[in-house]
Amino acid sequence: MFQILHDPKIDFMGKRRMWVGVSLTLVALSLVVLGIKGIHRGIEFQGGAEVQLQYSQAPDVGTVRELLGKSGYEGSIVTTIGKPEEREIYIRVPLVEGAKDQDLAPSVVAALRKAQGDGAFQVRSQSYIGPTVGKELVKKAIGAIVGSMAGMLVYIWIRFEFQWGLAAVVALVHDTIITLGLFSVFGYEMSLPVVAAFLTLVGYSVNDTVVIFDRIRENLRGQGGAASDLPGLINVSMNQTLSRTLLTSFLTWLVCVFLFAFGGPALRDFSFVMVIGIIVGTYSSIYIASPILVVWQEYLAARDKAKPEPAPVRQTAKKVRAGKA
Amino acid sequence: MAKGILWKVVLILGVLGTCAWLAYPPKDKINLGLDLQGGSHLVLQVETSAAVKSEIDLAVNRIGQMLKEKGISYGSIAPTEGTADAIDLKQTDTARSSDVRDILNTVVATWNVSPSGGDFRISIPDQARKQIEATSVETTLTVLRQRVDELGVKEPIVQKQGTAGDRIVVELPGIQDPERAKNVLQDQAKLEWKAVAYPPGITDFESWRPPTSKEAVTQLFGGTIPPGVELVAESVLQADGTRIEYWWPLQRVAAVVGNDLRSARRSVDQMQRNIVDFVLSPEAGKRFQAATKENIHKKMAIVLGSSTRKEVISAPVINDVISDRGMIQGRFDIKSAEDLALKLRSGAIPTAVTIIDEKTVGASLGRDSIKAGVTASIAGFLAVALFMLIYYRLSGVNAAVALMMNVVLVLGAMAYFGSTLTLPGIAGLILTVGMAVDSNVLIFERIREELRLGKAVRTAVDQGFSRAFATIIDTHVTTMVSAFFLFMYGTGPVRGFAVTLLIGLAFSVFTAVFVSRTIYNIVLGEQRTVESLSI
Repeated sequence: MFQILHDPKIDFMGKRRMWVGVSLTLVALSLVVLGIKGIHRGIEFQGGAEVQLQYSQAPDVGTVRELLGKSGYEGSIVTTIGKPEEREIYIRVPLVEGAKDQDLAPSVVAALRKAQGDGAFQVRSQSYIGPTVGKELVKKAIGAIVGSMAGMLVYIWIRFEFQWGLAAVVALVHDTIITLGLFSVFGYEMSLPVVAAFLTLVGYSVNDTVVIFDRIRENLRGQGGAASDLPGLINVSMNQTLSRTLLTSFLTWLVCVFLFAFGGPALRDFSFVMVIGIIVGTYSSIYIASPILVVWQEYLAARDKAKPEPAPVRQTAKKVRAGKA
Repeated sequence: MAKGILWKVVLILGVLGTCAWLAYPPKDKINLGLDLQGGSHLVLQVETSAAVKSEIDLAVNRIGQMLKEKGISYGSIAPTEGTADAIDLKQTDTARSSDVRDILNTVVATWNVSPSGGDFRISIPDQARKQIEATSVETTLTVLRQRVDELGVKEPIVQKQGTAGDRIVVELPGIQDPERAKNVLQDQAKLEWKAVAYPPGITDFESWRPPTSKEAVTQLFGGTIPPGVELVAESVLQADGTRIEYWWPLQRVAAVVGNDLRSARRSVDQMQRNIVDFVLSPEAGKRFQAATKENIHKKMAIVLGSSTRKEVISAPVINDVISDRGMIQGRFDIKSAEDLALKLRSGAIPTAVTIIDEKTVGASLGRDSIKAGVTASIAGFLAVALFMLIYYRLSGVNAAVALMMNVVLVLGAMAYFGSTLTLPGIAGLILTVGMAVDSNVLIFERIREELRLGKAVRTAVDQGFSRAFATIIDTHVTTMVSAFFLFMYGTGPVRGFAVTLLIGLAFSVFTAVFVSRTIYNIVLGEQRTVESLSI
């Protein structure tokens, strides 16, 4: 049998304070980065025009930029895109105040064509997004991410208990913030597919958490529905599921790496989020979600100190479905 | 092979075969999104306020005109300053306030009227206003559909979008010249009423119908169409579904044009027959009066078109001299009367649209995207399959078969439902493979655990599957929840991604659990006592 892990006995919970500290630091750093550097918003979110051109001869970005400046398109971004032999450039023009915006993309193309001649390039793609659409999309994107997290909370609440759902969602918020932070550090740009990636990530990274939760519940049931040593029991459960957690995360991660490497420029930002997010998500399933269960129990225990019996994490028998042998 | 297994195998092969047949060849069977096949995606904002404004202007005109006709003195009538949906009528003769009331009841019966002395504030209630806005969107939709047909694009999409319902999405796959398309879409609709120019020798003006070819009409005129006459086709749907074109000879100079028409609605006459009521501007009414007088008991064609194409939509007989209010009778049912009214309005109401979102992808970029997406997917799939083979040996083969089947099923379902595959959709497809393999790993790890506990192979396999099942359902539901939100949030390419993800996840329960299980049963069933399992 080929195994990466032989009966692991790692003490995850023993160092939980350290890891929670690490995570809090990372979250804080991410928030600082987001506050200072912010996130580049793609034209979908701020409005403007985007043109991708393929030149018949190697284009000079400087010349194009100069031409655009002369034609009155101030603040345009001009970069090369793709492989050098594809001779493609990418132009982004912000909305011009008071201009007839809807013709922005074609007029940029027309201006360049006039200056560089008809056969100089062909248009690979062009887009225009009006100012109102962008604002709506930001709202909708936030709504979708918050909505899907709420959906997770409710589902896990139904299947487990409220604090389990809460723990999973805290881990998700943690993943989203740190991935956003790295997204900002690397200077990627927020676009529709990137929002899609974040939503997928929310759905995916909760998987590891749910698998571990399922095992914890199964083991709890084995002990009659309550554990006197919850951290110990969680440790055992995590070690039991560890090879699965690492394996599946690795495989999905691998797929995303291939998408990142070969999927072309259009999928790069999308796969970047997945590549980073899967790592963060796997980490948080182990070091964030489950410790919160323990913290919850400790909180309950502290609150109920006056009472003679310690309050264990309850898991009502009727809700247990996993592990029916 | 045991009977229980046999029907499972038949079911699996049946599903697989059906999906493969549905999806093969994928090039023809799967709808490609605009980002893959190239084309234009446009979102148009309909200026519904223009329709409300034109309704207000009409009311101002008509009320003013009727006050004058009845000799009621008034100070002024105009749209209320600073609002878009109210009219101020000032300093009417207070002695004749009941007459003023009557006029208001005729012209704007359903509107809110608040009098104070001789002044009246007339405003459109929300309900009526929404009705006007909805009508203008419908009208614009009709016009746009007609225009898109003119472009000759294969499988275009023209539909309403957005919660306010005042946006229209137009998708034009494979379009070569987006500029021309945009010009055609934003072209103003043109409505003209033109008297029929009868060929010599026709006496029965009311029932005459022109021939179905240009040549035949020209023959009727003795070989040449006179100057000042033009031929416009009326396309009539036959009972058998084919269309016949009647070529009407019409006066080039229009009696009335679209802007003259103030409203057109379906209504019923005293006999409870469906008719179309229309109102012209007072000034056009005078012209129409002269034209109808001259052509009484003859036909008047209504021509709708853009700057590139024209079509006769109806050719009613003029029964009376009409000034600014008239009706069109015919053998209308409710729908055909509504349709005619809509067509009339589409030439009358300003169908101003603004492009608020445009995305055009060239066909060459689309091809490159397909190439990149497919390369990445195949590489990703092979990597996952290879890993499973090395790590789980023969059980890895089982997983690889299940994964491969998952991909085929997703493609089959997409072909069947006509879902669109986009570039993010390709990513979704391969990502599904990454997620579907999770179920296999969950099961295999569980089986290994049971084996380690010293259980017999069959028991270990049984328990591995049944114990992992609840977990598999949980992980799938959570991922599908977020995919669902993604579907609600996204448009176009992103929605395509959510669709492939949702379908893929649904099938992965089937492939990873049911199919894998059956494969195990077949393999293990052949031996009486199973000594070991390759896992």
